[in-house]
Amino acid sequence: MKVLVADDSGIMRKIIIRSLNSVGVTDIVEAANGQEAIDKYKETPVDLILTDWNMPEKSGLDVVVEIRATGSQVPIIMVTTEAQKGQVISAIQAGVNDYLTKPFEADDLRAKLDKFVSV
Amino acid sequence: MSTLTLLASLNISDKRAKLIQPFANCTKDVFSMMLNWETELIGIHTNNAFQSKYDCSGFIGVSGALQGSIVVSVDQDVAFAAAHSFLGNRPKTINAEVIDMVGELTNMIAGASKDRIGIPGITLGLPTVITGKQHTVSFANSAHVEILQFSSPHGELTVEIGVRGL
Repeated sequence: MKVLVADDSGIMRKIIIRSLNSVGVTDIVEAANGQEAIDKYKETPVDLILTDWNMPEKSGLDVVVEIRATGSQVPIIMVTTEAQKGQVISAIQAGVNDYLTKPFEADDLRAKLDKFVSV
Repeated sequence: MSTLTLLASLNISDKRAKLIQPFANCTKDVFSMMLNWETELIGIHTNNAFQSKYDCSGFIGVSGALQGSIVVSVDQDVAFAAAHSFLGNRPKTINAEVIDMVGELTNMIAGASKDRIGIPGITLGLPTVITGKQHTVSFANSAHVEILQFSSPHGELTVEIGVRGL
């Protein structure tokens, strides 16, 4: 299983990757901004995407919209500090499958991953 | 001492408390959930009455319904200990990973607090981190400033909120 992790914070990518490793996922593609996430997805389709919302170049919401516009149904988990109801709704309407707000505990992330990860 | 007890003991007005409480609670949540650190609010100061001197500060611009900035400051020992908790290794200098971590902590504290202030239409920018031994942070006189001092297992840190539009 290949997973794309998009976050402009290298620390946050490491935290997410550590959780992915703990559930057996080691084939991971990293992106440090929204445009890089879109480009890497187009180069190498993945089985799951975890994306931040607020990133340079293009936002996580842009990533979701552009990937869904290709017809892809790849599961996408938004991992973000944006927690207002309207934002969660707009993310889900754009095609996000699940949503995790920062800060989170490692178990919260692992519980989300368990829903989508098959190793 | 709980946040509410501290607010009451300092005769903090309801208007100030509505700004202070979300940041006090979210700072505790961020350090507890992400680092497994217990932090405690030990002081509240207003309008530049207290000048923190720290080594690393994360800034986030605030626009929309409130305008100003939010600053999270730590000294290098706290930054190194936090990096150790996040990464498993303790850096020896304020390197790119430490800067990234302070930015992300600032992002999480500001982002989570924004949603608990209860004022719609607040927009946050992306974090910027300033480093420099024993630097101070000052806000423009037109801003309302709240400075929250926290203790942590590895030293003190501050969260400063300087905004107009309250």
